Amino acid sequence: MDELEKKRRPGPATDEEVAGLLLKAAKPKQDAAREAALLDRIVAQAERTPRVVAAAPDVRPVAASIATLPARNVATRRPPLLSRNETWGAAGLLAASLLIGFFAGQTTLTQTTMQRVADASGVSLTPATQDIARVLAAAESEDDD
Amino acid sequence: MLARKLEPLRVPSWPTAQRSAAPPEEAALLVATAAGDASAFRQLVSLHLSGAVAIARGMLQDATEAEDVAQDAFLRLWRNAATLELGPYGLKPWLRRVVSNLAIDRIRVRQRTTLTEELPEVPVRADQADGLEAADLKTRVQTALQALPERQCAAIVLFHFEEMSQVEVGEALGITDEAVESLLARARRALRTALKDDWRTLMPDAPD
Repeated sequence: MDELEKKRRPGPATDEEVAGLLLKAAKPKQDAAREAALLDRIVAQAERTPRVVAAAPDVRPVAASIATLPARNVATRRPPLLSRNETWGAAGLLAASLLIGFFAGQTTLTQTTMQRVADASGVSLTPATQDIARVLAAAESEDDD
Repeated sequence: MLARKLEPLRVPSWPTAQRSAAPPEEAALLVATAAGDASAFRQLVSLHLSGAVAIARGMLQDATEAEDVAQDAFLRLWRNAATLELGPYGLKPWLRRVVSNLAIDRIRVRQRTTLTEELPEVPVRADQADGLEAADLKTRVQTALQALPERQCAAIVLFHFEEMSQVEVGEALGITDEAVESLLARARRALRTALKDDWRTLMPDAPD
């Protein structure tokens, strides 16, 4: 039934007919040039847009492209340099040497020992070493006072 | 979490006799698009661009906004092509739904903005009324469409502009066939009331 027949038909017009006619008059026209420009814009924008990509199930690495490398002989964990007992021993040795150094510094033996060592070894004491010995001796005597 | 993200988006299908099946090349184009083929994407867009723009323009009554909506919809297609699963009617149902929802969102924003910026009503002078009388029918119908609630507007545009069946409109809007019928009835009544003089001109012999 075309629109002219509907117009001639007696009886009230239905809401559907009225709306159909009104909307037909207002239907937007297609603009091919605008749509072509829009198509270009959409594709250009899409190419700059990150997206979800499906991993194809049938794609496998090509065998020829895989180089076989020798396995690296790397221990998973490096062994400790010292065992537990050796660690304690080293720590004790270090503490003892510190104590010896401390007490040696506290005694008056410094100057005489240096002279004796120099005499025994035949090495002459330079002025610098003698100055050091003198300073140390003076410091010791002040402590004694 | 990843598995949930990649869960396929199923395109629902309703068994209707009138609907045409998807073009045979569409599935292949979608697969190529999913693999990142921009030329396949271009073909896919060109297949559906006119329809998408027409729906958006019918609902929004604004060419620029309609193009923005269409662009947004196709970019969603580009991003999610790998997760889309086509039904027997192809991409069209999915695309119609996306475009309709995007257009409805814009109408809502527009209506909110209009409400906040609403100015006090000024009485129309006689000379202005003459000018309004002379205004184009198309503009008046567009204005009446914009005054409809967004879902009524969407339903009537999809049904009358795009010539979809009620089932297809329901599919596009995510509502039942009965809900579409109710929306269409209210929208038609509102248009008939708002444009009483205009439809009288179009149908001079029709009694009330």
